[in-house]
Amino acid sequence: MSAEPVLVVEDLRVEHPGRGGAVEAVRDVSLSVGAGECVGIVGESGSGKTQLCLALMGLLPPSARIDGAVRFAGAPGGAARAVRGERIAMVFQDPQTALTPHLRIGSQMSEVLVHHRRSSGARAREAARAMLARVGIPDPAGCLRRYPHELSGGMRQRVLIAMSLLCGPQLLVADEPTTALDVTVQAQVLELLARLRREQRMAILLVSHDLAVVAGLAARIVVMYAGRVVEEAPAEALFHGPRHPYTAALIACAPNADGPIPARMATLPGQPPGAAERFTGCPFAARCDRSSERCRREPPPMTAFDDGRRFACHDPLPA
Amino acid sequence: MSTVRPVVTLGRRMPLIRYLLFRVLGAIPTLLAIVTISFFLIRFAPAGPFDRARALPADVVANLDAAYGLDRPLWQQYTSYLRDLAHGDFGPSFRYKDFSVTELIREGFPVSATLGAIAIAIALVGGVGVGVVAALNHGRFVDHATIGLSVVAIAVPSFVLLPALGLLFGIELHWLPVAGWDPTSIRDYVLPVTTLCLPPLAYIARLTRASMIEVMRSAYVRTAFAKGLPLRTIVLKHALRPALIPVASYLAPAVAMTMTGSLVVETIAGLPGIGRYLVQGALNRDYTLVLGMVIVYSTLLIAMGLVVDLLIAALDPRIRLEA
Amino acid sequence: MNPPPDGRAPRASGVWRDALRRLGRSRAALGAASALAFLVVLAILGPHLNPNRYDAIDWSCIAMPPGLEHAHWWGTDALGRDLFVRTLLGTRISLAVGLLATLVSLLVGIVYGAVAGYAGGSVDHLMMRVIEILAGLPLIFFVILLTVVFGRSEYLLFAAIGAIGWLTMARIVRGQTLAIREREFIQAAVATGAGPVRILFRHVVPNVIGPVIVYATLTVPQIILFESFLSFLGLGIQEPQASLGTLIASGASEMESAPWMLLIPSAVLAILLISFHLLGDALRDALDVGDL
Repeated sequence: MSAEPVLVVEDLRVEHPGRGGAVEAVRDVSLSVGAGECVGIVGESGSGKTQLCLALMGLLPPSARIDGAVRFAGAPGGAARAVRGERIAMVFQDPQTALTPHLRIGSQMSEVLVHHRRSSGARAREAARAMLARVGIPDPAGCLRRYPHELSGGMRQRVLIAMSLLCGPQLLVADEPTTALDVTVQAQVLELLARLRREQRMAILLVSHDLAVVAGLAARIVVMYAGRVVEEAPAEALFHGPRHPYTAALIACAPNADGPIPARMATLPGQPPGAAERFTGCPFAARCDRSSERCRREPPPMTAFDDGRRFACHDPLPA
Repeated sequence: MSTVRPVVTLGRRMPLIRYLLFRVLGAIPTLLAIVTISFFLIRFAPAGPFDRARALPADVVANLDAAYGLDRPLWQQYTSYLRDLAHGDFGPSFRYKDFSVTELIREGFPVSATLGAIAIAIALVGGVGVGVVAALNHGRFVDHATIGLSVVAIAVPSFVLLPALGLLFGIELHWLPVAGWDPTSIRDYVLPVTTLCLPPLAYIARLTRASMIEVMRSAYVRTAFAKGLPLRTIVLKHALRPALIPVASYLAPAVAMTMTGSLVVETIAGLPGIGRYLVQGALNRDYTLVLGMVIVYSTLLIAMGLVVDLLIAALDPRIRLEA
Repeated sequence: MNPPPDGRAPRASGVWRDALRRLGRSRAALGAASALAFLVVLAILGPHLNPNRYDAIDWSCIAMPPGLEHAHWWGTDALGRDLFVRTLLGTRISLAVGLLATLVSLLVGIVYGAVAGYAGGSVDHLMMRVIEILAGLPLIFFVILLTVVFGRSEYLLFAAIGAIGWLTMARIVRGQTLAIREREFIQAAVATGAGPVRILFRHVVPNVIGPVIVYATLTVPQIILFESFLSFLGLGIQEPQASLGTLIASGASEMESAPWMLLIPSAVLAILLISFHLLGDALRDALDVGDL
């Protein structure tokens, strides 16, 4: 918290123009990530988490309309796009499809260094081998010669993490890095991320639909719903006293956050709203057991507190 | 849109030599079935090689039949044809007197094959290039123009295109010869090759565009973008190879068709290729010539099928060669 | 085209309504469909709007250029026959043979492919082997032999061309059938004791129809083009009847002296083919079929 922010997002809005009117995937999201800090983003699928990540990285299709400001401290002018893959890196949800199938691991890893650091091929391969060893791949030299389909899912995710760390980024955006993996492998990958954060002194933006995944790693947690931030708080405070009813519901669904990671998250009743839906009031009102006429009518404003906590609710849970 | 991905399912550790042996041996019964079907089909068609508009005297036809062995029972003719075939002899032509089918094909095939190979090479390079550019500009003017032009290129019949090109570049502008053939003069190749390559070029462009659009949306291309690689590297190194797989499947029939010559192009341009033999032979009941051409075409098609399967295995390491 | 996970067959009407809605939003599809509809109406009504007959020779107007000041709006050919009437009649015949051949190849291909895919195992293997062998034969070889048999009857000839042009269709249907054979709604039908024929035609065929329709819209122009090639060889539609192919073939030989004889039928053919292609592409997107 105390460190200078490496990433600041202000009033970010992402719209995809469609034939039935624009679809608002992200609406007025603001957040910041300090240097070396791990911030978690939690929300059901469709809450705009992935769209937010892609917007940060400048990876949205050119047709998308992006408003608001994203400032990345490591880039001249603050545009993450210019230092993508170097100072800011991203790990995706599905390791099965995120690696190019016809290229060997060595080739896919070394090209990052060849491009960003102008390394020679041999030096890039040596660096790639060393990084594979650091992420706990048993036979790193052999792994470089493999094709992606010859590796297990967990190994592939390790490769992807190693690949993203090659240039020593200041910020790693990890979008559901463990969702596609077995439970035991999930734990290993999360441990790996925690260790690398300490060793490399890099910030992590950890995105998951699963509160338990984020719980162990993130110092601060941002809860998203329907493309908006509904609550943000230090992890400890969030778990012990959620103020927004949605956060409370999420916590109720996740078993003991300090205990074993559940294989499958119990789900909230009802459906999360689609990105095309428009609201006059609070987007969560329809599923909220505390909602009143006012919730359905006027959008709740974001209220910020001194302890770094903020939430948007007309009728918050008592502190 | 007629390309269906070949399903190559053979064992990983299978040595290439053994795979090739399996495939070549497996092609023999296919080829034999093709020869047999063609042999009996053409023989059951009404009329024979010596039925002309003005009927020959019956005894002349009988003598000719005897000379070519057509008076023997059909199954005997079939077995003796196969026996000759096994020795590499396609038999004498019925229509081109004093020529054996082997000689006709040996003389004409290099012409057709050269033109066809050049045309397919240009179509491949040009089509892939155009398709990639269109895909990268998906939804914009370049893309729409590519689709429109490709449909026109596929739709214009060669018997319109070649004379039209001849009219423009030969008769009006005097840049190129309209007809005639000197295998050493590059100028003679331009119009026939252009006519031959345009439809496959357009088709390859469409195939490449469609698969490239899909690949550019894939997760691994997104990873490559996230790595900060330049567009050039992403397209050439990450996206192009998988996008070429549908093109590879299309290549087998395209090569077999184009290299066995085009009747239209060779007739209009006056080229001494083999393009006309298949149609002429079938129309004239030149039994041996038709069969010879069918065998050349089928062999080429089967061989290209094998080449394409190897190509696809090279494009995608996940595909295993199994016999 | 994915069926709902509850194991019932996808409700065909819903799938088609969605596809139609998507199709309706595509400007290319609407344009292509209206162009096709216009040509069809013109081909049916047009010849009656003009006093000339398709085979009437007007000696006073040999190779007359197009113009509205005389009765031959689109000009005449080298024999003085009216090109407006001949082109529209040719359009009618080209469309008819294209649709006829496609329909036949559709029927044969669907039955063959569905049986092979549904039977599976050695039956499938054998049936695919037959296709492989037939695909190894040049199409034109069959067609020439067919012209010998059916030469006097164009429609039978093109029905026969359809009957040998079904190989790709059968492969597509087989692939689709293999994919849906294991789905729950088929299993459910088997469990209720439905016979294989009933399952094939009530459950399998309706669910493979998407790719089949897309391929069919792309087959029609192929057949029309093929007919023009046959006409060039003199094996297609016989004089004094005309198809777009025969008109273009005879126009090609007069392109210097009377370019309209080539340009008019070529333009109609181009519009026809482009419309079919655009419609096929739009259908592929609307039905979400992927590349065939």
